[in-house]
Amino acid sequence: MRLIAALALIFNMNLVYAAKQTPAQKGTEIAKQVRDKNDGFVGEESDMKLILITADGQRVVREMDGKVKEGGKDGDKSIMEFSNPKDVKGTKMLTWSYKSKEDDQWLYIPAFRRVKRINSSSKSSSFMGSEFAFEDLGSQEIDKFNYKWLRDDKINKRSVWVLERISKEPSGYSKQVMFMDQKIFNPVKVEYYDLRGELLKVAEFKGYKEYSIGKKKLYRASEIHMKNVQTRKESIFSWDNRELGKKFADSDFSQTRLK
Amino acid sequence: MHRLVLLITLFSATAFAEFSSQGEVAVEYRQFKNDDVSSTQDTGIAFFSRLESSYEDDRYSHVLRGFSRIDSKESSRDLIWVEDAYAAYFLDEEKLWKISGGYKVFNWTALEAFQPADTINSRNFDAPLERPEKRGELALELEVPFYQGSLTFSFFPRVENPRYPGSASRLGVGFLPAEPVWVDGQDAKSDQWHPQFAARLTQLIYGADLSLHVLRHYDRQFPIVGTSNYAVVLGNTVPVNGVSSLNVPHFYEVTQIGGTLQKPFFDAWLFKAEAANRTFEKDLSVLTVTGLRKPLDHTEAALGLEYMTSHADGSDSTLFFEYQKILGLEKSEAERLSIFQHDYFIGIRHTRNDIMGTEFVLSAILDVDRSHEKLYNFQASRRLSDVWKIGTTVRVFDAPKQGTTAVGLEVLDQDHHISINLSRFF
Repeated sequence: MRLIAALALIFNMNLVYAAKQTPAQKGTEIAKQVRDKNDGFVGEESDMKLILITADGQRVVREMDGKVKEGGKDGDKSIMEFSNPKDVKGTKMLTWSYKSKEDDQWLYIPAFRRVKRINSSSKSSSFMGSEFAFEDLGSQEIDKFNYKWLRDDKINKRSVWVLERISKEPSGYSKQVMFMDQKIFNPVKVEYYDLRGELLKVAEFKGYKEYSIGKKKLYRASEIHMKNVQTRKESIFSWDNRELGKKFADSDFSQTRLK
Repeated sequence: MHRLVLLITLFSATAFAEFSSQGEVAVEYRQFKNDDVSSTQDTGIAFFSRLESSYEDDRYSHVLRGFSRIDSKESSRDLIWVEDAYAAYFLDEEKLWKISGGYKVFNWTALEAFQPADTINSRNFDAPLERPEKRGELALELEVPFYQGSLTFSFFPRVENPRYPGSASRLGVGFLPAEPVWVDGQDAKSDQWHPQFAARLTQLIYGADLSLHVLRHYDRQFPIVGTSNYAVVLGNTVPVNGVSSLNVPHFYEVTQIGGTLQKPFFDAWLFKAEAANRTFEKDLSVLTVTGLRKPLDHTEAALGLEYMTSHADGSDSTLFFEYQKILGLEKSEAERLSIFQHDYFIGIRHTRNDIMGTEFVLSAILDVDRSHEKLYNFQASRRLSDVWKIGTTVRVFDAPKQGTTAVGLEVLDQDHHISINLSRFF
């Protein structure tokens, strides 16, 4: 009887704690759950396509392939090699991301056989002339943001958490509002607000596919459609031939391997 | 059974193997300001091509790359050079130990304009400044892991001759230098087989890229042009084969110790430093038009800053500042050694980030000591499609001659030119 009473007390205390969570605590907790659900991919390899669409509908396609190695305690390491347009074919970008400090980044320029260090803080600049900024595609470590739960909502009949996140580091955005699917623990939409606080871009995540790594199920979007509501330009990032669970050597992500 | 094993092995190898190829063909047009000298060529139309093929499987890789240029008006610009022709093999599963051999282009620089550490390959000195053209050097290398980076040991069994602008070139010195000779003790030989060595350490320490090197090789940048075949007659030193023999570049063996450092800081800044100390073997004096000369030991040091900022319209700009000084020499000696003996470089690159990748670069190199020497550059480039690209460069040399003989950048004063490149990539 005493045991039941104690369990009831603990249960009630948890409810009280849950009810008393601040929006910031709840937002951070959801972000951690999302991170934990998406961890464990080991390594990823894919072909990527980036379609740039001008305000008057003109389209240009960029192509690249990428590899990511999951970092465990440190952040992930990734390498991206461009194949189209042809004048940048063979150009590679290596990123070592960290949980609580600026990423290290290098660019390999094949025409000069040169590995150039670049400043990863220039994150707000455009990625290959697209509506994606480097910071949209780079490390999304939760320690680099302050989170706030705004509300629970529904998008296309799916339950979502609506979270606000503000970068702790210099950023091109004043805030981001994320619509996080409660079943697959991944975003279905992100709104980006400029430094004046006005809506700048909206990203829609589409075509989620399920991948099994051991007993774990992971979800990855096949396409992100970014619309700049201020300039009416659009960009579509899509992934093909994606493989998760790939094992890479650390040396595959070293500066000397860029050459 | 053996056949099955062989088939599986072949299939496995093919599954990991990756061939790739790429290249470029371009039409290069350049127009100089008329100098009213009939022996020089003010207009040039050249056809440039570069081809690359590479193969990579799990441990083995090889690369073949080279370029050619045919100039319709100035045949001394014609060349076919091998850049890379080497094979590499990883000795271990972790791909940390690597051996490679063959012709290679090296790039050891950290800076944009001044590159004191990057001295291995011979160059084409008639190439565009912003697109240096290097000749592959025969090298045998072993790369081993070391702490937070790697250590590479290189052996270079021979030297490759650099290429100088011809006698008709507006970027030359008015005559075509003879084939170079390589100074070995008291002798100057045209034989290109000379053993040379290098060790280079690269590390990532506290977020900074650090490289250090020791290089024992034949210098390719500071030749002494003259003759080693001279005699003393009545107290005067005279060339045995006449004044016309004073056109032979003599290259000396040098020990170079140097390195580079690159470190991002604050929000969008990058700090860069690069230096090289050179100690020459100088047993032989060369008779030049200004008397007997030996190479000068010196240190060449450069510092750089880079700042990138993004604009509300999606474009971004990068500002560059670099400063270089030759240390350990009298001012007059440093001026004789190099055009950029005490200079700074300022530049801005503006990238519009539009779908055609439009980019503008405006830059200047200004001499601190010889303040009348200024070099201005303007570049613009834009894609015409996924495979076509057009670019233009305007270069202005403002360095009026101060004495009776042109020195330093004065040699190129008024050699202003505009060039237009139309490239097809594949």
